[in-house]
Amino acid sequence: MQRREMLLGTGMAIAAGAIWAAVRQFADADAATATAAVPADTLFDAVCDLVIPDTDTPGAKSAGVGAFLALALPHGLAGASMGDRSRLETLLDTAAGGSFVALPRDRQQSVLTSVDATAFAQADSVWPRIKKLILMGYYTSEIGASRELQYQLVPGRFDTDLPVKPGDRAWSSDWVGQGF
Amino acid sequence: MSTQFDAIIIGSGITGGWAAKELTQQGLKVLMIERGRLIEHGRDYTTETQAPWEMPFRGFDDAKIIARDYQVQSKGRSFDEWTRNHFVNDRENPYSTAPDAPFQWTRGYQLGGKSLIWGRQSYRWSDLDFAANKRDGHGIDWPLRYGDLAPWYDHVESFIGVSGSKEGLPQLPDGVFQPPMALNVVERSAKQRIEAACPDRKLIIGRVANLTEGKEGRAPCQNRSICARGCSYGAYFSTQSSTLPAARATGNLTLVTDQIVERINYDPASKRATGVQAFDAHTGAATTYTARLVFLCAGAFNSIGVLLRSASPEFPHGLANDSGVLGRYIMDHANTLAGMGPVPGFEAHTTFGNRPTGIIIPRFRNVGTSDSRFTRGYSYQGGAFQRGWPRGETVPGIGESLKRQLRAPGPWQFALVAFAECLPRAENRISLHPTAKDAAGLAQLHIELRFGANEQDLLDDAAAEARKMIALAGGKAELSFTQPGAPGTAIHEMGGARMGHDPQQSVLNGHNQAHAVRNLFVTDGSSMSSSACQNPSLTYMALTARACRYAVTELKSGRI
Repeated sequence: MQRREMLLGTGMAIAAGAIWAAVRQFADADAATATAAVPADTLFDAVCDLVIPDTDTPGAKSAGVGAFLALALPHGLAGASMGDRSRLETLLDTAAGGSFVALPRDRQQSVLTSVDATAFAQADSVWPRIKKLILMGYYTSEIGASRELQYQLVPGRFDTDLPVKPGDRAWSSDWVGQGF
Repeated sequence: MSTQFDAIIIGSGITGGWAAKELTQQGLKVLMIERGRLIEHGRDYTTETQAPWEMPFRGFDDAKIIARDYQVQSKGRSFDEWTRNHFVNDRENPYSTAPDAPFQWTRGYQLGGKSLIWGRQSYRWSDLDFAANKRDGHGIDWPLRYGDLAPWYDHVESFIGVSGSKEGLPQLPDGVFQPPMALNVVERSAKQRIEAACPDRKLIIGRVANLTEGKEGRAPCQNRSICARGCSYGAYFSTQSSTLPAARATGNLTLVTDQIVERINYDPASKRATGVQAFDAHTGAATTYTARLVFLCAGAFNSIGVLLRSASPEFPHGLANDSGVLGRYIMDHANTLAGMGPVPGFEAHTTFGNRPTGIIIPRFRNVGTSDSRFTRGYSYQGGAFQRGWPRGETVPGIGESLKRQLRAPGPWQFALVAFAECLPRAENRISLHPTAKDAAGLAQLHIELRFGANEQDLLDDAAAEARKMIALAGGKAELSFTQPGAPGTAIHEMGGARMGHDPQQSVLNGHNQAHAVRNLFVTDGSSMSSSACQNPSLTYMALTARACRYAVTELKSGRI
């Protein structure tokens, strides 16, 4: 989050101050945790696949965003926390009237669509955090950043005015744009 | 290694690097002391080319580490998982503030200091600025004018490389520029509409220390806009890319890193600084270095700390502080997002490449005319850009339609960030905390800086005008703030050892020379007597180069 708060300029920093509360506890295993294989999580995989499905490019489940969620929660990215997984499960199981992950995909999709439609108007829903993390994980994955979108570390020039053509893909390496 | 030098420079950032270049090129044997670690150009820019998916936390960083170690730095500009190694660990480097006055202190303790992470905006000040204190009575008169500094601005710009457009504005003098970077399609439209409706205003490309033409082994900017990771092309000015190679090439430079200067030593008999007392940042081992000349370039507030720590029976309130003003009259630009919002009508247009600067709208208040609501003025930095995939984070929508929508280039936005001049006030002050220490065992700095009514009036006006100008550009300012970020947010902290004619009211004379200690020069932001509303680094560089010439002349003539 702080990356995007900063990119345009100092004005954006104003909102950033309130983002993280102080947390002193921290284990040195972080680097290891960050790269260790994470067992597949059916719930995470299901919501990843529903938010960014496979189309002509692989979607969020295929891009391994479930593992990113499993990393992001314990490390507090986007204000999330370990408890958010059970909050998500409770939210979706309640909306499904039973086990969300046991539903067929089309039923999962209609349940999540209705949850998503109302969650952003609620102050305390876990869903906006999870959805945000799915987008963060997908569009910074190699698939999301360089196949779904375009990535160019060294543009080498600045073109000030180009026509947008149908099917054009945005640049994931446009760092200012990734702040907003 | 010898510990005897002609000159000692404390700090290796923007001004320390300049002092090293100038003094070594004029034949002095120079020691430059840096408190932080060695970072060699290119070799040590370890994250420069990493893609997001190659970073442990995709560039967002580990929020637990941030909360523990980078609570202040992470709120500032340019901080992210790639650049974190160019910022201090806040837990290890604490400072003190008043409960009602937080200060956002961005710091980079490493070779090159904040020159690695600076915003690179490079503007001359004018006599609108240097004569401001005398004109309205806030602060004391600057002991120099634009004419004194103009040749040194030429000197600095010619060496570091500043790209920019000549505009003929009296309040923002033109310089020695490389070809300007270009406005994008939306900014060109905004420029035309705003300038047509407001003849007192100009919208121009930022003047930025990023090369548009290669020079002296440095390549032109590649339009990556990831400068703060370090740039192996050497395309932006930093100590590493520019002044350090020049200083090393003379054979006259000795560089030590990981050495913290505890104090400047003073000899009451000769009334001279004799050198510095330093200790190893890791082992604590003490070393005394001696020299005929001391240049203090530790960064504005840390330079004040060195002087305060250098108290002696002759200077019980801090070295060269017989006036009592040392530490007082500190400033930072009052800074806020004055306006931001969508600009429809350009959906068929996009850009390629990441230009490492935005636009500016130079000051237009109290320029030639007089506005009774406030004194001095403000300027804007900002620009037009297209939103990226995060636009999908805060609105409903899932599935193929969301993916399709976020694939396309996003809607255009226009932003204007205001930088308002901060008046010098005695109560805005740095002192040494009476008891609290940092990890190195030195007294913590206690920083108290509050903005006043004039700064608020300026930002109120800046927000109102930003909304008008974004509307003129065809947009709508959905966000518009008048409340400044915490002092320090602009990272333009300055003052505390101000220059002046009168030794009873100032620490330094018109050559950045301590009134009371003739072989001590302080040339970083602490020397500023007012803040203007332009980014100050170019002026620090010009002051440093000018002070070096003066100091060498004085040294060779035997006067110091």
